[in-house]
Formats: sequence, C-alpha cells, structure tokens
Amino acid sequence: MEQAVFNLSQIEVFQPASLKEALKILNDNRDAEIIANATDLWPRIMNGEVKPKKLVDISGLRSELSYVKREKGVIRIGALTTISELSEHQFVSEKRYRAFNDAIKLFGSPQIRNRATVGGNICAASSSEDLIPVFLAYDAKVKLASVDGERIVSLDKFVVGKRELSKRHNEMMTEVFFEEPDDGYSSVFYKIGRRNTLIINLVNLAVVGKVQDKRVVDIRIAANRVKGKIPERARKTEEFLKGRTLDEETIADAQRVFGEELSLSDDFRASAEYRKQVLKVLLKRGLNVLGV
Amino acid sequence: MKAETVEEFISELQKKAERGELLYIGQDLKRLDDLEKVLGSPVYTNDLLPRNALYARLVLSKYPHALIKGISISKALNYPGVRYVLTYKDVPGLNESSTIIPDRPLFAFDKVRSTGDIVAAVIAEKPTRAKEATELVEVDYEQLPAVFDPLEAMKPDAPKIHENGNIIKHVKVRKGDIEKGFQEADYIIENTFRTQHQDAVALETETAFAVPKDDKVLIIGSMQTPHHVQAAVAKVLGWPIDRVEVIQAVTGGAFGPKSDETPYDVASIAALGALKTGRPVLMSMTREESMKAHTKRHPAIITHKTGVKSNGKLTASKVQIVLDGGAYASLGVLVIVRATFHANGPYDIPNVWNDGYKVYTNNTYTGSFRGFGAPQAIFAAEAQMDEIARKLNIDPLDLRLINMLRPGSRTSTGQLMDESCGLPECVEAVVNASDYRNKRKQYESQNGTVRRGIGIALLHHGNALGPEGNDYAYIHLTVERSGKIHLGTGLTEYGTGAISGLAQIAASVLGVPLDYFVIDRPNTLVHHETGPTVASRVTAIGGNAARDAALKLKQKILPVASKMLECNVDDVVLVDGYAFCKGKEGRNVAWEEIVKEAYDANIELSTLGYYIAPECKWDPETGLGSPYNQYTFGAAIAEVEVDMETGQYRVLNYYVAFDVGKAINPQRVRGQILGGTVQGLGYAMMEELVHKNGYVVNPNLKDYYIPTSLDIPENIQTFIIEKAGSIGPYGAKIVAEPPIVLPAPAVRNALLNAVGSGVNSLPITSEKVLNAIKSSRK
Repeated sequence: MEQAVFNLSQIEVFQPASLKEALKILNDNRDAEIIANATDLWPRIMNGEVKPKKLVDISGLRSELSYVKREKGVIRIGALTTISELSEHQFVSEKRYRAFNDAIKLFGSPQIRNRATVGGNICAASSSEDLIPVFLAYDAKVKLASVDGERIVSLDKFVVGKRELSKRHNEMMTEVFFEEPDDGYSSVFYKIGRRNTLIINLVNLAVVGKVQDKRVVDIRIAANRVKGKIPERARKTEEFLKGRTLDEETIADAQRVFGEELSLSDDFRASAEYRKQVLKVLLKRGLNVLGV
Repeated sequence: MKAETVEEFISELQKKAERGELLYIGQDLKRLDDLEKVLGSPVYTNDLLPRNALYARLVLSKYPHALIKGISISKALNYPGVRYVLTYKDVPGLNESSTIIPDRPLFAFDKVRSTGDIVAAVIAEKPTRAKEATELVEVDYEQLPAVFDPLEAMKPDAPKIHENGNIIKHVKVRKGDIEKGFQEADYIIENTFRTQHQDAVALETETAFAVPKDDKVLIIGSMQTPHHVQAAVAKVLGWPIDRVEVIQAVTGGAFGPKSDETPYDVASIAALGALKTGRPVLMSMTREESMKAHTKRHPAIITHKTGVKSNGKLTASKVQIVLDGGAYASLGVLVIVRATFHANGPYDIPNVWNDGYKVYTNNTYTGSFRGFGAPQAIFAAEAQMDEIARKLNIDPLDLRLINMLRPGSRTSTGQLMDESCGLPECVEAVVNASDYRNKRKQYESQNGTVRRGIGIALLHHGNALGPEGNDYAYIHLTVERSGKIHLGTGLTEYGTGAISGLAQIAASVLGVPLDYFVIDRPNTLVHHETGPTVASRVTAIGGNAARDAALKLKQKILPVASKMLECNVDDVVLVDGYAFCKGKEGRNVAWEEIVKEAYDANIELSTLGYYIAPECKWDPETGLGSPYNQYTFGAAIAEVEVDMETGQYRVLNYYVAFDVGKAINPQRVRGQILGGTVQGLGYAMMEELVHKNGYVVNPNLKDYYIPTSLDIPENIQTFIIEKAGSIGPYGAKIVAEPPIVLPAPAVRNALLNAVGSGVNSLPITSEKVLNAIKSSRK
C-alpha cells in the first residue's frame, strides 16, 4: 500500500541571486534539485513522477548564464540561454550549423521555446530532448561548476542514462561549448513524430560531417537510443564511413551497419522495426545532404 | 438599416418584408455569445467558484477488474486540510450514475471493472491537499481475471464483467435474402476494419460545483443536458428533483461525453460533498482524470462481406460490428444502433444482414461522442467500397455512382429516399472542385519517393434522435418592458452557436433584429425538461419550437400593432424592429412602442413553443422501416502526398460538401464542417487513447495527439447543398456531427490510391502506411 505522501506545499525553494550563492546552496543541500524555467521538471512534479523536497530556482541567474559567445573558434552557450535566444544567434544560420536550425524549428512550441533553456534540455537527459544529439554531433563538452571550482566533461560522459547525469550533487552545469568545425562542414537534423509540431520524437538523427570530392573526411552521427535509452553517437557507423567514397553502395552498407548498431525498442508510439527503417532512410538522406 | 432618407428607409423595409418569415434565414448573423469569449470574461464554471469552496479529487481504481475487500479512509481523513472523504457509504439515495442501463455505480463498492472506476473522492481546502490525500485512501483489492478484447469477451467462458454476460446489446438489420444476394454476385469481397479509442478533448474538462442552500442544493457546471444531471443527482441524494437546481455554465466544448454519464459523476460528487461539509465543493476533473474516467469513442472491429456483380452493382452486404464498450453500457447502447443502421454506407443494396454488438470489457468505458457510431461504421463501409472497386478494377467514384442513394432508392433498412436526398449534388460538387478524374489519371503512373493520391468518401446520416428517443423541444420567449426578448430553454450552447440560431429563427418570424435577444442560462428550476442536447438536433428540432414560440408571440403583438397603426391585423408587417401597415408604409411603430403598449394593456408577452418530431417506425427484429425522419448527406475528397520511404504523409487538399437542407446561418454551417473535419482528421491520422491491459497509457496531451494548425490541409473547401428535409424548420437538416465522419475514409482511400495498398485500421500512422507500401510491393 502506498504510504509516502508528497506535499507540494512543503517544497523548500531557494532563489539565489548569484551563481556563487546558488553553488553554496547546492553544496549545503544534498537533496536539492535545480530548476530553471520549469518546462520539464514542473509537469513531472505535478504528475507525481518526481517528488523533490528542495528546489534551487536558478532562473534569476540569467545575467550570468544566458549567452551565446563565439570566440577563438569555440561556441559557448550559457545554460540559461533559451531556445528562442539560441535561434536568434547568427551562427545557427550557417550551413555547418543547419542541424541546430532544424532542431530549433521542431522544438516544442513558440511558448516553450521562449521558456525552455539549453541547459535544461541537456540536463533533462531523456530521449525526448532533441538538442542532445545535435550537441553530441558537434563533440560538445559541458562546464560543471561547484564551490570547489570548475571542471570540463564531454557531453557523452555527462548524460549517461535516462534521467541520469554524471555529476556530483553540488555541481551545476553552467555552459555547453564546442570547437567550431571549419566551414567545409555540413549538418542536418531530422525528427519524426505523429504530427508536425509539439511532439515527442519517434526517432531523431543529427549528422555533422565534411565530404570532399565525394570522400568522407569526417562524420559524426548521433541519434536517440543507439544503445541505451538516451541519444548517443553511432560510432561504428562513423568509423565505417570515414575515408570512404560516398556512393550508393557505401550508403547502403552504412545503412546496414547503422541498422545493426541500433538497439531500439517498441512503445505505444511506434515499433522498434519501424524506427530502425526510418532511421536508415534518414541516414541516407543525411549523407546525401553532406555529399551535396 | 443604413438608409439615408425616409424614402430609402421605407423602401428597404418593403424589400425585407417581401422575404416574410425568411427575413433572416440564410443570413450570416453573428453569435450572441461571442463577445464575452473573445474578451475572456469569467464565465466558465471554475471562474464562478465561491471563495469558501472546497476541492474534490478522485481515487480511481488501481486494477481493471478486482473485488473490493475493504476501503479505509482514516489516514486520508486525518491528512491536513482534508474535510471529508466520500465513498459509497455516503450515498443516501441510489449509488448509481447511469443513463439507460443501471449498471454503473457512482462509487465502486463490491468490485471495480475498469481503471476509470471511481472508488472515493477526497474533499479538502486546497486541490493539492486533496490530491495528496488520495494516496492515503487504502483500498484492499482482490484481483479478478480480466478481458480486454471485445471478441474474447463475447465468448461464453470469458470473465463476466456484470451478472448478465458481456453482450450488452445486439442490433439487427435483415433485408431481402442475403444468401440469394451472394449467389447473384460475381465477386465476394471480405475485409476486417478496426478503429481506436478517441478522446473528445473538450478544452474544458468535466466540472461542476455545488452550493448547499437550506434543504436544497444548487449545482453549476459544464454539461450538455442539465435536466438529466438534475435527475441523476436527485437519485443519488434520494431527493425529489425540485430540491436540486442545476444551471449550465458556459461550457467549453462537449462533443458528446458531456451528455453521457461523467457530468452526473462530477455533479453528484460535488453535491454530496457540499451536503456533508456544508460548504461549496468543486469537482473539476484534471485532464488525466477525465481521459481515464469519461466516455471515449468506442473502438470497433467491423467485418464486411459484400457481393457485387461485375458491372459494379452491389447485391448483398453482410456486416458485423463489435464495439468495445468498456466496463459500462452508457449511451453506447444507442451508439450501436446508429452504427448498425449506417453500417452499409449510403448505398441502395437489395440484400442486407447486419449484426451490431456492444460488448463489455475491462477497458475504460465508451459512449457518446460526435458522430455516435457513424465514424466507425462509415470508415469501414467506405474503405470496403474502395476495396471492391480495386477488385473490380473500376474507379471508386464510378462504383459509388452506380450504387449510391438518390431520390427513389432505398436505404439498408428499406427507407425510401425522396427529393430531399442531395447526395448526387454533394458528389458532383466535390468531384468538380477537386478535379478528381484528371488527378486520378495523373496519379496512375508515379514513381519516385514522393507520391500523391486522391480518394473519396460518402455518407448519409439519420437526423436527430430517431431510434434514440423522443425528439422534442420547448422554447420560452419572454419580452421585457424594454423590448428585450429572453429566449429560455433547457437546450444548451456548448460551442456550436446553435442556440443563437434559435434566436435567429425567432427574430426572423418576429421581424426583430437579433440583438434584441438575450439567451438565458439554462436552469432546471426555470426551464422545461426538453430532452438532451445531442444528436446535432438543436436547429432541426429546437428550431421548430423556437418558430412555434415566435409565431405565438407574433399573434399577441399583431393586434396591438394593428390598433396603433389603425390597420387591419392581416396587413400588419413586422420587419427589423418596426411594424407598418401594407399600403400605408409611411407610418410605422417601433417594436419598443408596441411592447410598451402591450404591457400597458396587460397583455402577457410570454410564450412557450413546443415541437415533437413524428414518431420513427421500424421493426426492432429486422431493423426495417424508417428509423429517421430525414437524412443529411455528404461527400468528401482528400488529396494526400506520401513519403514512400518513411510512410509519412500529409493531406494537401480536402473538398467537402454537405446537403444540410437549409443553412439557417451558412457561416456557422461552414464552421461546423471545418471543425468536424479537423477533429475527423485527428481521428484519421493521429488520435489514439492507448489501453494496455486495461490501463490508459497516454492520459495526457503530451502523448495523446490532436491536430495542430500545422497538421491540417491549407486548402479545405466547403460546399453547402440545400435539399429541404421534411421536418426541420425551413427544410433544415442537422450538420454538427457528420463532418467528423468523412476524413478517415477519404484520407484512407487517397492513401490507397497513392501507395497501392490500403490501411484498414485507425489511426493511419506513418508506420501503417509504410507497412502498406511494403505489402503492395509483394
């Protein structure tokens, strides 16, 4: 019999005015959860999926953590940057960053894009977060801050499982960043669901790469549920493709390797078999985009 | 009137007077209730809640089928903020919340039959407190074997959900000689079709609050039929009905479930809570509670066996419909009647054999929902037509032209179609507008990743209640001394604008502009019990009562005007708020002056209009006869574009025509056609409330998809055909429900045209389309 009762009115909420203060609160409260603009966590609290006792509301730290910087060949995005703010930055309109543009267009609704943050999307760490595969495909890293200082972790070592982050309780993700690929790179992002907007993807796929004279110089492929229940890189497919000439045969072989690498599952939205077929089609289309 | 001079004014009046009673009929007059909605005024139930109200939250069953061994509420009752916990023990009257068959308790007591069953309701100072305390209500269950597939549930050894077996209702149609019909056929085509649970997703969920008033209780809520709610609450309380006052608040969408049993639940729980605590209590369902506990559209398993000659003439149609009723009968016992009577589509078939079953399962229950059995029946019938056409290798349009209903032909129940059958005109309108023949030719030879297809679907739709009950309505008109006219009725507005249409009819009869009218809130202690607001019947049935009330009022007004104008009563004309005398147009009196004169002369300016439709006669054993007084007809053509590698598709164009008899307000007719089309596209393409082992998997709008503006075709063209029906005012037929029916078969048939293989189950997901593409390549 269910005994534990969750009491909304008893959540203790901290509202720090600075990053320094926020980190101190996190350090002092092992059981505190970070909440930014609440598009992910609040519905889960209301549904009773999670029952936090303490929340650290960092939405007041925008002056410190909302930014997109482009300096010394690195793009840095503050954790509290909203999706709308990201979409307004000039870099996403470039060919090599088309994947960002594609993902933002399919991201929630205008209202959600105005609230949801880049950091929140990454830290939600679930298969429905479409920015994770995009960042993975750019080899992104995250900056974790705590009272002890800062450290850098690569994104694929940070998001380690469904709703699971590899970080210490007193750490906060403050930034995601990646080295800019040269402008010979192209990219694309696909997302497919049962309707055209406001959907949880059936599948998604980000492809970033450089193809010169039909030869694959570099390629990074990330999708939902490659192995586990989160977005991951399809390393085997990448290795297979690197250095090869992009012709029909190579693409067909890459699709086969990709299909074997994927470990998808059924749910009420679609079967694993369908997801696999569609992902293979999207891979082909993505490679064709790169090859053009 | 915008006349500049007296002469112009008089000439305008004369012109309008020539239209007589039809003055405003067929005009796009505005709705009377639009401004408050646009302004976002506080008009809905939850906006009107008194400050000192308590909040109720539901404890729903944990299992799809289980005995209840005990319920302990003490922990919940001791939780901070909790004021009361309601269970079956608190019901002073009958623990029953059902429409037709008394099979559903308000609170489960001996057993639960679905995960939508209500076991208890916690009442607390705050909704969060109530929600938290629901987890402390301890229910001791003993699980029972359960059955979720209606075909399994029909077997004799299936777990029994109620005492009397799992088949709730069996409806039959037996026409001609079915075996002879199959013998005459050159081809026999058999197929099985399946449809899904659809949720109505009214913007406002089921909600009501109750206020204790001495020995009475006042209930304000969101509903379609306040008098039925009144009777249901009185039964639960064990009170005479006049101690229960029910007012329908402005209702944020209804679509059928709010005519079924859930409004009884929320009103009864609010009333019980209010009486136990002495304070107002709000029972407002969350989306999740609503999606689990209210009635959904029945999933159906429909098998068709059709005999056809090689020239395309249908000789026999045998159809079995099995509806998954879930755990309770609800209005679903009538849904299966409509489904079975419409099962063969709008075709003249000499030999028919239909069996319709509504079956109990341990899924959440299903019931009334826009279309009322027709969406399932017509999806299957129209998909079958395209499968037949494919077998015969003739165009699906030609197959329909050979067999469809027209004046002189007969329906599956043998009902003769007269001149009011406008189906051929509907077909003509959409075929021409869509360029169907050329497109069909054009799409014959396609290759490439993106392909297009075009498909057609037709329907007939028996009007108003027919076999579903006595089709009557009362309308009250009362004129204030100021000249304002109050229109009062137990029929309700819940979004269609139909009640404004009643005022439009009365305004037309009385020659008074629409803005003289005020629509009173339906109140059970003020207005006559006037049957349910369902079956799209407000205009067709209520319109006659409004006309009757207005004609009676006119008889009171004319003598007064006659005296004032010194004019023969027969020569008095009422137009646009003025009365004048034929032949003496220069002199006129305003409506307000006439009303004041009538008040001074002690003439009572209040009338009650009444109408009851002619009785529908049919044989319950064979279904033969005329189950409906008149029919609406419709045709739609959808054009789709398919990604052959992923199965994703979109509907590019949609052309739809309805024979509505007479469009009283054409703009609102188009509104109903567009709204129904969009909801029907949702049913066709994406909507599915998934049940897994009796549990609803996606009871929220994150996982239950309804169409957005990006999912519907940019080009939806509507056509209104007017072939006057026999009973509706000025020939009007019903229109609110049929538009939801056509998108599913039209889209399905367009996809068949594009990919060469048909999808026989709803919703048509991209996965199913891809599977169809693969099977057509085999």
